[in-house]
Amino acid sequence: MSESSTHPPLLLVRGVSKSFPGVRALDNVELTLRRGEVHALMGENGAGKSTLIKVLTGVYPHDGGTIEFDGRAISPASPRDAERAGISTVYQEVNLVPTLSVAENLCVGRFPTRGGLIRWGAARRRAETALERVGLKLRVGRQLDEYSLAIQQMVAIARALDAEAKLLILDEPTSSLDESEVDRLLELMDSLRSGGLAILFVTHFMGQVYRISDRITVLRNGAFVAESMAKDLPRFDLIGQMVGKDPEALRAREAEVRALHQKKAGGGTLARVNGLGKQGSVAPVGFEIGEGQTVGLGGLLGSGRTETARLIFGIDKADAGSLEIDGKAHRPGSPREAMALGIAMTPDDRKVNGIIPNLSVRDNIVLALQSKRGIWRRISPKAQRDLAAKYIASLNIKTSNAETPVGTLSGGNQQKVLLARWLAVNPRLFILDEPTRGIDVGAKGEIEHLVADLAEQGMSLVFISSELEEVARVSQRVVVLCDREQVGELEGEAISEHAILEMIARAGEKEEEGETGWKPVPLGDEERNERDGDG
Amino acid sequence: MAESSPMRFIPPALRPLTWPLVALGLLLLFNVIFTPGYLHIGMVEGRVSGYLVDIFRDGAAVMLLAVGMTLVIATGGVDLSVGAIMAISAVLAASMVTPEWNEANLGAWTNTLMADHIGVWIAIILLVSLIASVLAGAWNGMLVSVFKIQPIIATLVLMVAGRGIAQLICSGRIFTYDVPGLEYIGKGTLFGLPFSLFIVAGVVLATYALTRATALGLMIESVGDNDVASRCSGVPVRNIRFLVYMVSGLCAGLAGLIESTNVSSANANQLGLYFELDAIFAVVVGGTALTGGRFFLGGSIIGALLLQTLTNTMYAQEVSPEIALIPKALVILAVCLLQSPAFRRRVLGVFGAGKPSKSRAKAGGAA
Amino acid sequence: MKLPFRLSIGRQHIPILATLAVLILVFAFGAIRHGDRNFASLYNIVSLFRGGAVIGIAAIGSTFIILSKGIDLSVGAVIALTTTIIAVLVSPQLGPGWHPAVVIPIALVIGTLFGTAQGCLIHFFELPPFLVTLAGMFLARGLAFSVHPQNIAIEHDAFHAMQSIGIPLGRSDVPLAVIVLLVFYAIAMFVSRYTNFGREVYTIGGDEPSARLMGVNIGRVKIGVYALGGLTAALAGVIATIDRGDGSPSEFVGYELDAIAAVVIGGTLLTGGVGFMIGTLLGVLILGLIRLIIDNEGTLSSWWTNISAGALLFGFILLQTVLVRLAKRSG
Repeated sequence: MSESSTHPPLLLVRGVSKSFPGVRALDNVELTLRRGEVHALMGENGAGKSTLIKVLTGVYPHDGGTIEFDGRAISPASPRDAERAGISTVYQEVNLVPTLSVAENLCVGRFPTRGGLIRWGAARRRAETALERVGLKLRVGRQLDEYSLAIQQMVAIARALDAEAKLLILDEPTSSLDESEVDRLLELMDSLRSGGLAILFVTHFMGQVYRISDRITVLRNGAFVAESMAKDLPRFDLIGQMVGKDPEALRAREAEVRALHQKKAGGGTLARVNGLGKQGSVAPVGFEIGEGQTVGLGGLLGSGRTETARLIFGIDKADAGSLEIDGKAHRPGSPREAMALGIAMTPDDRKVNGIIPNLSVRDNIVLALQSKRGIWRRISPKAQRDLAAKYIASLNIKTSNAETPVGTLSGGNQQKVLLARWLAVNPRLFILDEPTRGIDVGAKGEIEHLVADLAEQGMSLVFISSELEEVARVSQRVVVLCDREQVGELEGEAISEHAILEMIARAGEKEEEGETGWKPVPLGDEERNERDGDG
Repeated sequence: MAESSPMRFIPPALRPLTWPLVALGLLLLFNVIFTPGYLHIGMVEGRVSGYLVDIFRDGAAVMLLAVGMTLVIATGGVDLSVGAIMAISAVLAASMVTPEWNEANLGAWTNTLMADHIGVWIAIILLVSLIASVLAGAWNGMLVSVFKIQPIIATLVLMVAGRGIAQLICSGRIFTYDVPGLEYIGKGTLFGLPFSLFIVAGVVLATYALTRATALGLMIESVGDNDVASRCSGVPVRNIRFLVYMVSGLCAGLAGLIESTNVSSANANQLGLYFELDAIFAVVVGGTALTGGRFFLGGSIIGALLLQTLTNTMYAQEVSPEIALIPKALVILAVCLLQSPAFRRRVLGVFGAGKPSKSRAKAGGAA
Repeated sequence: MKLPFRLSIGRQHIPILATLAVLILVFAFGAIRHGDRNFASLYNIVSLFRGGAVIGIAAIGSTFIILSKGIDLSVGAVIALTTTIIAVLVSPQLGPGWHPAVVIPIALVIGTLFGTAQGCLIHFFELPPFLVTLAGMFLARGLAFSVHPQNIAIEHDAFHAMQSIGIPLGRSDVPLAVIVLLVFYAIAMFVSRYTNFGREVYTIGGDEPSARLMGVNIGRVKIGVYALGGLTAALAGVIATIDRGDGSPSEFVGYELDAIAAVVIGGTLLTGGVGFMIGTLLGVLILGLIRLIIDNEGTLSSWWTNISAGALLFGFILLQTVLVRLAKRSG
C-alpha cells in the first residue's frame, strides 16, 4: 500500500450537492482521492454513490460545491469530457457493446484515423496493447459477446485505462464475477495501484473492500459520513456508519432473530430435491426440505444458488433429476407448474423478475393468486381491495394507497409487495432469493422477522442471500454451493457463516488442481457421486 | 406530475384521454363554424344521416382494428399485418360469392347452395373469412410467443406476404358482386343507423367485458409491463400473447368485411392499405403506450374517431384525400408530441416538470 | 506485413453468408430452369441491377437506420415527393422551368432536410422511429400531391441525355441508374467500415446506453442516419425520375417495405447493430431475381413475388432469432 499523503490529492470533492425535483440526492459531499490508492466508496442503496459517480463522470451536472482534479477545478459536461480530463469509469452493467468486435469496443470514440478514415491495423494493435495492460490476449476481431462476462469486464477496464486515465472508477465491477475472476480483478487493481493510478472502488462486498482498499469513504442519504483508513475501521463500525445505527443495536437484533429461528421443532419431510440440474446452469443438486424448515442455499454470487432456485420453481427447466413432493416426482417446466405444487418464489432481481412497475400495488399483490385461479375467475374488486389492504397493513407497506404504481415505491416496500403477492396464494414451500438485497436496514429487519414468523407458522422456506451471515442466522439446514456445484451441507448447530465459508474455501482448493473455468461443465450423476466418494 | 399541472382538475380515469378529447373537441368546433349544418342529424329514407353519423360509419373499420391493436400494443407488441389480413378476409368473401370462382375452386355444389340458401351460404362465408383471419392472427401469435420474434418483425412477414396470399386466392382479379345479404354488413342500416356501427359496438363491448370482467385485462397489462416478472408470477404469458394476436386477426377480418361489403368489391392490393398505421395511431393517440402496459380501449376508439373526423373534415372542406394526409400527419405528430414525456420536459417544462428522465421513461404509460 | 482485413469468420458473418448462398442458389435455379431464355446473360444481369436501382439506393439509408436500431417507413413517399418536385421544377408550364443541374441538388437537399427533421423528432423528443416515419410517410405523400396531383411527363433535353448515358459492357450498356447504384454502395460500404460515423451507427444500434457512456454523440449519429435516409430516398427519387422520365406523386407505394425486406434478407439484424451494407445490395438482387424467375415462369403470377419475399423474410428472421439465441446461450 502506498503512502501518498505527502503529495497533493488527485481528486478533491468539496461540498458537492445535486438535487432532482423533490429529492436531494447529494448534500454537501466530500471525497478525497490520492494517487496510487484504492479508495472504497461505501453506502447503502440510495446513499448517493451512483449519483456522485455520475457527477464525477459528467452524466449529471452538480448544483453546488467544487471538484478539483489534478490541481484544477473541473465540471465535466459529458462522460467524454471526464475521460479527457483523466477520469474513466467501468460501470456494473452497461459498459460495452456486445455486437461489436473487441477491437471496436476498445476504440469506439477514439479510433486511430488518417484523413478522417479509420486505420484498422492501428486500431487492432492499439486494442492488443490495451489488453496487454490488463493481462489479456484475445482475438480482437471477434465479436465481444463470444467471450465470457468476466473477460468483457476486463475489456471494459482495458478501455477505461486506454484513455490515459489518472482516476479509474469501478462501479460494482465484481457483482457478476465468480471467485477466481474476482481474485484476478483484485490483483489487477493492485498492480494498477502500484503504477500510480487512483481507483475509486464501489462495491457491496465487504470482504473485497478490506482485501484491497486503502481508504474508505462512507455516504448515507446523500451526505458524507466519514473517511477512514481501512485498517483502522472495524467491520462493525463500518456497517454502523453505513446504516446510521449503533452497532450494538444491530448485534442485539441479530441475536433476537437467531433466537426466533432456533426454537423451531422439525416436522416431516415436505419435499426432496433429487439431483435437480441443468446443463450449463448448475450441476445436479440434492437435499431435503422439512415441513416448517428453513433451508438456506449458501454460496457466493454465481455459485449456482439462484440457478437451483430457478430449477425448483420451474423458471428454467431442469434436464436432470426431479423434485419430489408428497412422494411424487416432478420436474416443473414453468412457474405455473411449480405453483400448482404449492411452491412460491420471490426472485433475486426484483426489477426484472419481480415487480410489474406501472401496475398498482393492488394489481401486483393479487397477480399470483389471480394466475392461480385462472383468467376467467376474476377476483372481485372488493376482494382485491381487501387483500391489498390486509397486506399493506400486516406487512407495513409504505404507500400512499393501494392504487399507487408499485414502481414508485422504495426497494424495501417493493419487496414487501412481492412477499404479499406470494403469501396471498398461501404456499407450502416459499423460496426467497435475496429478499433483503438493496433495501434499507429497517425493511431488512422487518423482512427477516417475517421470514421467522412464516417458518414458525409451519411454512417451509428456501432462503438465499449474498450475506452468508444472514443465511446462517435463519436456516436450520444450509446447502453449500460453489462454482455451480453442491459442495456440502450443514445442519443445526453446525451452521455458521464461518463453516459455510470454510466449506466453499475447501471446495476451491480441490478445484485448484484443474483450471477453474468460468463455466464448469456440469457433471452427470454418476461422475458426481464418484467425486463425492473421493472427497 | 399531474398534481402540479392543470391536469389536476381532470378525474384520473380521464387523464390519458385529455389530449385526444381536446383535439377532437377543437376539430368539431372548427367544423361547427366552417361547415354549415355540421351538427344536423336528419332522416333520409329511414336512415339517420348527417356528418356525425358519417364519422362513425366511415371510421368503423379503423375502430375495429384499434380494438385488437390496443390489446396487442398493451402486451408490448404491434401488429403490422392487419391491413393484409383485411385484404385476405375481404377477398375470401368476395371470391365465395363469385360463381365461377366457386365452380373452379370449391365445386358446383356451392353455387347450388348459394342459389337455394343464400343465408346459409353467407353464414358459411363469414365463418370462413373470420376463421382465416383468426388463423392469420394465430400465425403472428406463434411467431411472437413461441419463436419469440420481435412483434414488429414477426408481423412484417405477413404484412409483406399477406397481400400476395390474398391475390393468390382471387388470382389477382377484383371481384365485384351484388349480394344484398352480404352487403348488408357494410351498407345496411338497423334502427336507422349503419349496421357496421352495431358490429363495432358489439366488439367493443365484448372486448371490454372480456378484459375487464375477467382477469384478462390485468394479465395483458402485466405481460406488457414486465413479461419476465409476469411469467414468474404464474401468468400464462405465452397464451396471452397468442390470444391477443388472434383477437387482432379477428378484428381485422371483420374490418375487412365491413370495408369491402361497403363498396361491394374486394381489391387485394388496395383494400385496407395503411390501415394498420391508422389503427396504431388511434391506439397511441388514445393513451396506450407503445411500450405496453396500461391500455385504454375507450381512448383508442376516441383516437380512431379523431382520425376519421379529421379525414371527413377534409372531405367537407373539399380537400382531396391525398392532400388530407398532410393535416393528418401533423395532428398525429402533435398528439404524439403532447404525450411524449421528453417533449413535455423540454418544451412544456413549466407545466409538466417532474422527476428525472429515467423514472419517467419507465412510467411512460401512466402519463 | 498484415492484410488490411483478416479473413476470420465470426458469428456476425453467418447471416450474410446465408444471403450469399441464397443469391447463388436462386440464380443457379433461374439459370438452369430458364437457360433457354439466356437467363444468365449479361443483358439480364444488367437489367437485374437496373430494376433494383431505385430500391437499392433507398435501401442504403434504410440499412444505416436499421443498423442504428431504427426504422424508416417514409422511403416510398419521399421518393414520390422527390420525383414530383423535380418534374414540376423543370417544367416550364407547371413550374419555373429550371435546369436539372439546379433542380436535382434542390431535391436532394429537400430529402435530406426531411430526414433530418424526422431524426430530430426521434432524438430530441424520444418518439418511436416507427411512429415518426409513419407520420413522415403521410406527410411526404400529401406534400407530393399538393405539389402536383397527377403524373408529370418530363420533356427536357438534359433528361434525355442522362437516360442515354451508358457504359458499354459486352453487348449491352450499363445505364446511369446502375452506375449510381454501384458507386453509392461503394461509398456506403466505405463509410460504414472506415469512418467514425459508420462504426458509431453500429455502436448505438448494438447498445445505446453503452454507446453514450463510450462518448458517442448519440444525437449526431441518430439524426445523421435519418438525414442519410432522406438523402438516399431523394437520390432514389432522382434516379427514378431519370429512368422513368416522369414525376409521379402516386407511385412507389410500399417501397419502404421492399427496402426493409432487402435489408433483412441481406442479413442485417432488425434489432440493430449487426449487418453489412453489401448484404442489402445482395438482398435487392435476390428480390429482383425472384421477380425475374416468376416473370420467366409465365404460369406463375406476380403475387408469388410477395409471397416468396415474405417467405424469405421469414427464413432470415428465423435464422437471426436462432443465432441470437445461440449467442445468448454461449455468452
